[in-house]
Amino acid sequence: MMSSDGDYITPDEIKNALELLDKDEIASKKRLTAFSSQWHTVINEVDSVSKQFSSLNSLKENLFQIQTRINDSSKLAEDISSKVRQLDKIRGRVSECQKRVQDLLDLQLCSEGVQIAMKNDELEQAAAHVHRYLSIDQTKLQRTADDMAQDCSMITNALKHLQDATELLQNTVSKRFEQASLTQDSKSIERYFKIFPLLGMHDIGLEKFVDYLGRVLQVSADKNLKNVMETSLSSNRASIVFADGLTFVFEEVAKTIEVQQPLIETHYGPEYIFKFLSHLQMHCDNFSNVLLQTFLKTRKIKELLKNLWDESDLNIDKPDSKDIDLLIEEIVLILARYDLYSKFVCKRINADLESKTSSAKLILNNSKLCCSVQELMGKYLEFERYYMEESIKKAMMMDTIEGDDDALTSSMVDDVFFIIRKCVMRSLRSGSLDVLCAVINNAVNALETDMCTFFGQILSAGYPGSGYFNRFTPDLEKIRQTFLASLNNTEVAIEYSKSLSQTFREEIPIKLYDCNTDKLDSCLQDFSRVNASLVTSNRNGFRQLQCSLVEPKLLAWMEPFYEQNYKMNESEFTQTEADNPFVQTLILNVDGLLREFKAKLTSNNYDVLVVALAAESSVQLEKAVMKTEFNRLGSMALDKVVRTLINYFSGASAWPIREKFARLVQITTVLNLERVSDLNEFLSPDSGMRFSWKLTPDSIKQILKLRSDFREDEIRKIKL
Amino acid sequence: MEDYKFLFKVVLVGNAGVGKTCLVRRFTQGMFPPGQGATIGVDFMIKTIEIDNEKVKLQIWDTAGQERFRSITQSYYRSAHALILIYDITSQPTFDCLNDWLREIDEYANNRVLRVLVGNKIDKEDREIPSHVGQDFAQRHDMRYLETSAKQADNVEKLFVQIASELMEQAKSKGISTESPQSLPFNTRTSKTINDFCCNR
Repeated sequence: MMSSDGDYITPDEIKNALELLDKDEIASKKRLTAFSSQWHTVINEVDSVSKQFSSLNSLKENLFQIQTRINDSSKLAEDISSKVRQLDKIRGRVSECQKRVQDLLDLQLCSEGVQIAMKNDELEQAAAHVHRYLSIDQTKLQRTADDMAQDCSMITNALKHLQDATELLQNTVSKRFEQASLTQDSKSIERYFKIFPLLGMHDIGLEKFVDYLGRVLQVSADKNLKNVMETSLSSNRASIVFADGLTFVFEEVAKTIEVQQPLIETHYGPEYIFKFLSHLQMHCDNFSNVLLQTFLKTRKIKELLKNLWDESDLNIDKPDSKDIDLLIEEIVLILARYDLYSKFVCKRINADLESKTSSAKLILNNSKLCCSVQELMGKYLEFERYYMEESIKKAMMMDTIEGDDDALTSSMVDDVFFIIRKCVMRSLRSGSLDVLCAVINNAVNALETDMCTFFGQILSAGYPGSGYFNRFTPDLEKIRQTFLASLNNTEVAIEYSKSLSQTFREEIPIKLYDCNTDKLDSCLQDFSRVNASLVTSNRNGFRQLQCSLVEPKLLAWMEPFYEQNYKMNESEFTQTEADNPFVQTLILNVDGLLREFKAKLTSNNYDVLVVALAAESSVQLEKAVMKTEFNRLGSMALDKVVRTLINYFSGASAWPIREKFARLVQITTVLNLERVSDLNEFLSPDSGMRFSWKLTPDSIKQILKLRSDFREDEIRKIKL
Repeated sequence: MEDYKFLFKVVLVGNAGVGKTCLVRRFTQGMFPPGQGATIGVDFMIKTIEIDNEKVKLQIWDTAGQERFRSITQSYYRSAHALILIYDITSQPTFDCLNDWLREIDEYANNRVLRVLVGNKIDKEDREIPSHVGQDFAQRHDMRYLETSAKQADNVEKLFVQIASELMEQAKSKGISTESPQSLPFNTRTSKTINDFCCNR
């Protein structure tokens, strides 16, 4: 440890170490006394623990005892529950046994009862016995009979009796039903009809019953057909006699359903309604199809349809649209009646079996009647399309221009939209959205191909101006009138078309049951096609008017501008201030023209014309200005001209027209500068005068050059 | 206001039982309705799809194939932006009728309408019309061609998406507003452009 000689320890250091050791010793002693004082408590605890060990042994014994007891009781509980189960089973067997005994007793009773009842011809009584017998579980009964065969022949006898009786009863009731139905003995029919289900003959009974109902209906259907055929042509219902006939058939069938439904529900059960209706529908199909076939033949539908679109033979007389109109009315009535009938049938089934909604529709959708009606719908659509197109053609042919003091329109627009509305609302009565949508489609197509094309042709043919050649055109005034009327017609037609589609959008969903508005809307959207076509025609018409009226007139009226010298002296300026013949004549001319057209155009079209005139005068005046030289005073005179013109047009037009003069105003502003450098005020971004230039830098320079008093080098200095 | 930029009407035609309704159901509802009954009149479905981040709303008219509904279905031809003519690849008669259908389309539809020929039921084993026969027919009549299976959802989405994007391009290139797609007067000039449009593709 102190191996090195240099490691001498000084006494101070030793003293220090000793003190440290002393301190350690004292601390150790203290800890030792603490430990020894704890020793006793530790010993005590060890003692108590070892004491508790001995008591644990007895606890273990107790636990073991408890375990065995629990095991015992669980075994016991299982025993009890199995016994209870056995008891339960036995009780079930006993009650089944009792039931079978009861069944056997009943069997005996029934067997005896049937024999007595049969002897007395009490069919209801006998059937009630049979019904009881049939409600007994047949297989078990047979087994019981087998089990007891040796000691009890009575059961087998009774069974045999009952089986025989059932068969006999079934045959008797069937036979008697047939007889009753032959003699139309409705009381007996009802009686036997109620017995069938007791004998387990639901299907046969229902079939026989519906057959009987069919025969009854046949009689009235035959009578009805005879009535239809014998209705005189002069009768006021002659034109809808087939619809009436069909209505009768539907009513008869519906009445039958209404009367018989409660009977079937009580005696057969609600689940048999579906079967009843589908059987009955077959009869209804027959009656209505006979009528429909006769209808097609008598009204010569096939021939008419063939002639409608036949362009090959010109000798064939096209059917008169008035006759077709009558025919359509009858067809729509038939469709409406079928719609009513089908709703009735669906409601009948829905009321009872909500889940079978789809199958209710199936009865009708798969019926022959439905098929014929759908075929009729197709024919209806062809006739309706023909009627619509023919009527529109007629309206166009008989077109007369109306409104001598009023705006010029022609009768045609009113007529055409009246026809469209009539046809669409008529198709609504068919109750079928598909039919309605098809008529709307056809209407839009007809408007587009017939009406829009008609206006389009007139308007693109142009408005004959007052040029030299036109002076020799015969009927010049009439052509002009027709043109203007068409211009107005397009505008009126747009309004009509918008409001008509809106009316349809509002009215149809209210009047049509279960209307799919998305489908309807999609069809009505097509009216926008008509509107777009009309807008195009209208714009086209104005373009024609622009070429043959607005441009040449203004060109002529602009001529006097050149007669005025715009390099004025004071006195010339003062004179033009007081009286400017150019602008006054121009306004007088424009005003005269506008007054003439105001009487002929619809207000909207008139406003379009005003704007067109304003725009054109601005353009033409600009051209004239660009060919003229000005001095300061001349520019001021021009400014006055422009202001007067703007004021006039603002007063004449319902629409803002200032925009049309924007370029001209800027040109005048440039011309009216005091000095060329003043232009900078309009160019500097900080200036409040800055406006959005309609003029290009080049044209600004060109305008500056028009001022004879502006020097070329100054103009060149301007930075644009 | 509904949120869509383009609206197109698509009309499906073809013989009864070729699977028009199943194609539409597969596309609009993502299911194949087994034991589908014959369509009565016209069914109407809407589906909005997204193409190049733009919403396109398709109004799909599923027409009845049976003859007696012809007057109803014909009325829809003219407003259609696209006509899908469908036949059943396992049934020669449905293919033989295509000429009749085309005659009807020519008579009633707008001549700018986009026409697509579809051979359906390619999931079936008993094919009667080879693919190239359908392809040839389509080419001869300026139609697009696609074979589909509504049952296994083959090409169904593709069919409608292609139609939608083609119509969208057409609308954009002509600047025709979606509100009034048929606004231009019909004349030979416009019919020529559509043909060019088809051939260029």
